[in-house]
Formats: sequence, C-alpha cells, structure tokens
Amino acid sequence: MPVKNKKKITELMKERRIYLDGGTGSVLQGMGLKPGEGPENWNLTNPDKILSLYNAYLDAGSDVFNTNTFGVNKLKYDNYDELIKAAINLAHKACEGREEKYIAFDMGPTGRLLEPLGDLSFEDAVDVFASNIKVAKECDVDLVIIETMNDSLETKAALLAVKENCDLPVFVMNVYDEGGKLMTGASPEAMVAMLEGMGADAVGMNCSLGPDKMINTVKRFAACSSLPIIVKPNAGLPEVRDGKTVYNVDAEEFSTYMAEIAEIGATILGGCCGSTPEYIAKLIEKTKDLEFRLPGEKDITLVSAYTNAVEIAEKPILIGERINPTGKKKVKEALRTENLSYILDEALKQVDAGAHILDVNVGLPEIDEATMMVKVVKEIQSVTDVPLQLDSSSPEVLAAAMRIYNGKALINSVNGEQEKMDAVFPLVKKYGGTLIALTMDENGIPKTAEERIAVVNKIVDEAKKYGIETKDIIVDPLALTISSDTSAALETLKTVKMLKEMGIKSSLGVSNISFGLPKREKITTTFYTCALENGLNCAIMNPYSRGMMDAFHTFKALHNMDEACQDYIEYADSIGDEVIVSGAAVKTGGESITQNSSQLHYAVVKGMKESAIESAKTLLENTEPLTVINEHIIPALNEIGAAFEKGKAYLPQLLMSAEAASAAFEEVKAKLPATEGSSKGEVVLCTVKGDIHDIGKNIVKVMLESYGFTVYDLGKDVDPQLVLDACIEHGTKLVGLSALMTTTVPAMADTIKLLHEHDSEITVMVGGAVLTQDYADMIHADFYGKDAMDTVRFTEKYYNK
Amino acid sequence: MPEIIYRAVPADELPINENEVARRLGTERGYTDEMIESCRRELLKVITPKFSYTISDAVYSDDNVIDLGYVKIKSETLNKNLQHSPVVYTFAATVGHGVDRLLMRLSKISQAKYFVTDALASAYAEALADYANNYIKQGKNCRPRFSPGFGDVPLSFQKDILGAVNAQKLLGITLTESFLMSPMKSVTAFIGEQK
Repeated sequence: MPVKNKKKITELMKERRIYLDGGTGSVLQGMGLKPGEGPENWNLTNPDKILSLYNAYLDAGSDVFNTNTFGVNKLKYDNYDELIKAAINLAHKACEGREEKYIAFDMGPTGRLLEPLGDLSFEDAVDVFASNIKVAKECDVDLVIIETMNDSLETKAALLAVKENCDLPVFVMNVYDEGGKLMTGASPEAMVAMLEGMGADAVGMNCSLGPDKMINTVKRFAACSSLPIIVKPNAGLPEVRDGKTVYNVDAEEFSTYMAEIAEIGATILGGCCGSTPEYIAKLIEKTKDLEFRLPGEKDITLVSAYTNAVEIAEKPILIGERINPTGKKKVKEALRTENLSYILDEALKQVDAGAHILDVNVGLPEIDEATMMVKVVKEIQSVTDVPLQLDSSSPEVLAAAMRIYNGKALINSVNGEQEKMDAVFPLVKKYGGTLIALTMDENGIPKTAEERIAVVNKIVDEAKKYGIETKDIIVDPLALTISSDTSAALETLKTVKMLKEMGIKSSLGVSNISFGLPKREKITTTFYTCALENGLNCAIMNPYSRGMMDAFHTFKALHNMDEACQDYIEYADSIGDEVIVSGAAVKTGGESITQNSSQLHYAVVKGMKESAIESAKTLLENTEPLTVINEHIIPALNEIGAAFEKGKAYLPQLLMSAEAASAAFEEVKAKLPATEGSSKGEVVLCTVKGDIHDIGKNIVKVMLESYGFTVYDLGKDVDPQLVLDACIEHGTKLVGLSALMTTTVPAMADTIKLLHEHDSEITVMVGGAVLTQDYADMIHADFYGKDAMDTVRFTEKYYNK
Repeated sequence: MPEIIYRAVPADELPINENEVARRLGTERGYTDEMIESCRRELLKVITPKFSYTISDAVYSDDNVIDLGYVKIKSETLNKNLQHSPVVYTFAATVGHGVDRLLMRLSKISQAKYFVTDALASAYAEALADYANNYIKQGKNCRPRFSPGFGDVPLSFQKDILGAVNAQKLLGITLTESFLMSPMKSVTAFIGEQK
C-alpha cells in the first residue's frame, strides 16, 4: 500500500521540486522487450520485471512514478482492467517500506484521432478515458498523469474524464515540436489557457525532443502558466551510430540541460524515451540545490481556440457580432434550413475583416438551440482557429457548447441574478472559460455607474466561491440607447473608467448606443472611440463597418499600440479597393468574349467570384432575375464548359467559374419572389458505400448548383438504403452516384438495384474514374457521365423534357 | 535500443513530379497559374514531411507465409514482390496533420482550392515515399516497394506496420476503424533487399 500519512502531491509540489521517473521502453528493452512490443502485457506475464522497473526509478530518487499503463485502454486491450489492476498492485509492492513515494496512474493517447480530422467522437474519447479512471480509482493511486498527448481536444477529453470520475490530482503533459506546437497545432499559451480553466494541477511537456530543444517552449510556459510546470524530455533524438540506433544525449548532458530548465522555472522534472534511472539520478543531483520558486499567479486574461490564444490586454479586441439571428433575416433562414455554409462564410468573412473573436448566437425559438449551437461551433472550429464567444441566455445551451469547445471560450453571459450565477458559474468551473458579466440583476439595470459597480462586486465575490478569478471575468457595463436616455452614454463610459481603475477588463455591445437614431454608425463609432479612451478592452461590433474599423486602427496608432504605425498603414492601403478581384487566367483569352457579353458573363468565365457578385448586384438593379440567369450566368458557364471539354480550359478554372456562378446565383435568388425560381430540378448525389473519394462528386455538385439545380448531397460511404430514403423524402427521381475504386462498383450496383426495385422510373447517373460505359451498362445505370459537364448536360436535358 | 530510424524531411528537399500534378489537375504539363501557385504556397506553410522505418530479417515458408518478426503475412503477391529478400524494410511516411486541417478548411470554402491543394498534397506524399525509398535503398539492391491494400495484402496489416515503426509517437499516424490512416496523405510500404 502507498504510505498513507504523507502530504498530498499538490501540497508537496508547492514546497519543493518533484522528480518523476524516466523512460519505460529503454529499461524494459534491456530486459528483453522487443522493439514495437507494447510493455503493458508484462504486467501479467513478467510482473517481476515491471516491479524491478518501478524499483529502479524509486531507487534513483523519483518521488512520483508511473504505473505501466501508458498504452492501456479498452480500444486496444479487452483485458484493460486486468492490466491496470496488475500495474497498480505492482506499484503498491514497490512502495513497501518507502516513504513519501507517489503512484501516478499513467494515461497516454487513445491511439485514434478525434473528429473532425479522425473518426473518434469526443464523447467516445471521454468514455475511453473514463473507463480507465473508474478502474484505477478503486485501486488506490495518488494522482493521474495524462501525457504524450498530441491533440488539444483529446487532452480535454482525458482531463474531463478524470474530473468527472474522481477527485485525484492530475498532471497534464503534451508533446510539442521544436517550434512550440502540438502535432495538431496548439500553442503552449492556448493549452495552458484551456488546462488551467479546467482544473489541471500542473501542466507541461514531454517526449519527442531532447531537453536542449525544449528550452524555448519552457520559457513560454514560464511566461503564461500560473500552475507548476512539468518537463520530461527524451534523451535527445534517435540517431544511427555504427549501425545501431542510440539516443544522442547522455545522462551528463541531459542533467546539465535540465538544470537550465529548472532555472527557467520548471519544478516537476523527469525523463522520457531513451532515459534510464541513471538519467534521473544525475538530474536530481544537478537540480536539487537550485533555488525553488513556483511560476506565480499570472494576471493574464486569455481566450483560445485549438491553436491560437488571444490575450485581452492593452490593445483593443474586436468581437464580430454577425452570427446572431436577431435582426438578420439571412442568418435566421440559414439556421432554419441548416445552411451551415452560409454561417461558415459569415465567420470567415468577419475574420478577414479583422475580427479577433467571433460571437456565436443561434437563439431561434423554432429550432433546437443546443443541438444547433454544438453543430455550428464544431463547424466553425473546423475552418478557423479564431476563439469564439459562446452566446446564449440558456445555461443548457452554454453547457453543451462549452463541453465540446476546443480551447478556452468566451462565455456570454452571466449577470448579478442569483439564479443565473448558480447556473453559469459551475459550468465555468467545470469546462473553463472567460466569462462576460453583465451589470444587471434582479432589480434590473442600475442607472448609475456606482450602482453598476456594486453589481460587479457582487458577481466577483460570488465567483470567488467557485475559484473563478477576476482575471477570468470581463464586465459588460451595458450600452443603453441615448435616444431614450441622453445620459446613458456618460454613465456607461464612467463605469468603463471605474472598471479600468479597478483592474477589471471590460466589454460592450457598442451598437446599442445608437438604437432608434438615424445614421447609427456615426454615433456608434464616436461612442466606441470614447469608450476606448476610457479603457474599454472588447467591443461586440460589426467588422464590416468602415467607421468602426477606422476608429479601431486610428486609436491604436494614436495610443502607441502600433509600431511604426504599420497596422494603420496596411489598413489605409487596403481600403478604397472595393472589389478584390481574384482571377484564374483562361487559356482562350479574350477573343471568345464578344462585345455584347456583360461584366457578369466575363467574371463567371474568368472565375472571379467577388467581381461576379458585384456585377450581379448591379445587373439586378435593372434586369429581371430570370434574365440574369438565362442570358448571363448560364451562357458563361456553357462557354467555360465547352472550353473545358475541348481541353482549352482546365478543371481548376472550371471550378472557379462554378464558384463565381454560384455566388452570382445567390444574389439572384435573393431577388426572386419565393414561389418562382424554386430550382430548375433536384438531384440526389452521393459517393457509394465503401468509398470515401468525393472530389468528383463535389465537382458535379458545384456544377449542378451553379446551373441552378438543387442538390441533396448525402456525402460519402453512403448506404444504398439512405439513397432510397432521400429520394422518397424529397420526391426526387434523378440520382447521381460516384465511385473511385473497383471494389465499390458492386455497392453501386446494389444501390441501383434497390432504387429500381422501388421505382423503375428513378433515373440513375453514374460517374467516377473507375467507371466506363461498359461497367455502367453492366450495373444497369441509366446514364454514364464521363465528366462533370457531361452529367450537367444530361441533367439539363432530363429536366427540360 | 529501438531499431527504428526516424527522419524529418524539409519540404523543399522533396522534388514533386509536376507531370503527376498536371495529370491530377487535368491540366497540361508545365501549366500553372496564380491560383495553383497560391495553393502551393499555403500548402508549404503547413506541410511537415517525415518518415520512420525498421529492419527485419525475413523468413519465408511454403504456402506464401512471410515472417517479418513483428508480424506474419500470408500473401502471394507480396511473396512475388519480395523474391525471398533476406532483409525487409518496413516504413511509414506522412506529410502531416496540417495538410488534413488545410484540406478540411478548403473543402468548406472553395472546391477549386480544395481540388488543387489535394492534388498537390498527394504529389508531395508520393515524393516523400520516393525519398524514403531512396534513403533506405542507398546503394543496396532492392525490390520495388509494396504497400498494403495492393494485391492480397489487406489494409488490416496497417496496425502491425504502424506499431513496428512506432508511427503513432514518431509520426502521429493513427488508424480509423476502417484501417485508413490519419493524416490522410500517409504511405506505408515494404522494401525487400536482395543480397
């Protein structure tokens, strides 16, 4: 049994340096473990060797040692619980007769990559780690070590599993490359922000690099972490010497570097691959007498997304407000129809316009807000690493989003109402996050600045009960419209100033100030400037507003926040070019574009998306929408399509044209009365079961949509039944199937058979690199499209009959 | 000590086969334009090519069973390829997760850029496999490389191969439930050395 009457590791780590153990493989390979063989089975087959592994490190001086469970989980081992119990029992044996030794239950990665890049869902990952913890906690361990994690989301899943299933202290280490990034991209600042918020007890890095190459990253940890820092390097890098592979940093060199690392501020030290008990002994010798100091509380207000941390400090921060259904018809519609690509587009456009953080609010009464919020957050996080402000009045919605958010989110919001605080603070305690606090409570919105500060104090005091620090609270003193109270702006500005003096960060939804007045942007912009002057940190605003962006950039330049006025100069140069034209050179050149063809026609042929949108808008001012489609967009597509078929234009150009045409189409659709212009026809598309190649299918989709057809895209690896279900659901009788591999042609045949059995009138088009007219006939397809244009022509003919 | 050799390769040391790229893009040999070049630049910012390999003494028995030490494979096609090579190298190579992330992003915002970047990334993966192949060969008399998924060697062997070259730790390669590799642009192969 581990010695009972010893200090908790979380206390000991605040008093002195803690020494971990070293490499497992390096020691066990000396005892006969084959390279590539996992060491965990030895818990059952060679327990004496595992015991001597533990003892070797304890003898060398390790305070904390890992159970031999790094690679054990239910995905890899059916008898994972047996292996865990055996490892921990042996650990107890090793502790017999020893004082102040700590057993760490060791967990490494699941071995699978999480969605969206991989196929393991977040909740399944949490479950895998939770299953381990449930076994380990019954067996008496002192702490949990989560190590060698390559991915921030998987790290979150592991830490959540620990927190949800036991009270044990937890140390978390990630693998960083020489440039200070995780394999899936996160920075130390982003990881520290997330892990501190979720209640890790110590954070740091292990594996992959020798100590010398870790030094720069350790410095970054020292600058941002308020928790003790763990460093557990490899014994250098493996290199081939005299035909053998050795790690190139020996124990002496290793310990010298570790002394340097200890001086930078890491207080929990050990070794990873390639290191042995000798390394640990030398490491202890070289560092035990060095001055001990903890990192110290860092007063940093930070939000992060998976790779990227945004600090809220001196420079003003812009929070893009556009993803919010209130007052925005297009967003409302996108949410109702689950048109996530419109939302993604808005997200990316705001980032391009300069937003540092994006507000995400999907509150519509007629939809399931929690489900939609989770979908939207996941989607946005798959295309941009800008941190998000999770915005909802419902704690359930916030909880769902905070759970899967990859990073440390900005949470909007909490206020002084007891019920609200009771609901929201526990969420921040569990999932971490930086919290926006509104200065209102059961008594409504206080009139004076002093009264608002009183609410702030109430909120801050209550937050402390949950261990939530003031640095993680950003106060929104509420901008009320001056059209109903002409002193409203003054009170708000006064509150901002007081907050600044108190050292508390502030945020405002600035547009509210001008509600009800004409030419709102002018009032909003000046108010924003005044607020900045009073110390405002964040503003929830419209990044497309020229006035606001002018104020933002000029303020920074004037307040010495813009070195050599570089940002301002870049900004000034960029404005005034209203239309950014991106082009792909078309081989046919200008000859085929006649005098009569329009700007829009030209833009589509040239694949110039922005120009196409502008030209469409202009054209629609004096031209019927259907004319725009039939006399401008379609002929342009036909032209580039014909050029493509003749080999005079290439596929990338065709795609650019299709994108430009689709964008123009969106403009036209907005002008069409609801009844008309429902599409020219519908097609169900997919890549068949067993096949994941979807580029061809996606090209067909883009082309069909640009021609005005509605496409129901079922995705890839699609079961035949789902194709039939889609046809029935949408009442569509035209289907397109794609496959790239010979092995999946049978699945195509099955799908066709199922469709025709149900309704012999369903017309099936097939395509894909592996197909030929012969194959198509063999599987009873109705049409074989040799490329995307071929399929489009067939679809046009089909719907014109 | 592990008999696994690891190497990271700077992207500019990978000569990609422009004909391959042209073929995938459906363009003429040597064609390029601003869009393709911009995709190439973005790709090069996130690409991290690396590979690892291990060396086995191979034992061949009748009925086409090849014992590589860490795994036994029964395969007619692999047997034919190896021609009783006494030494077999196993390698895994990847261009990294950054590429997957970039492709996922592009697939949601621009099919054209996704298509071009995917073609370029595949070309880089091929170039990396060639580089690894040549690095391993270095003056030896070797058979052409052979990847699982060909002939009668099913993808299920990826598990053993990736374990043997410590691909998860060294290269960050994991497998999905259907034995597809993550990152997507990754290659595994055997190379037989003839004496």
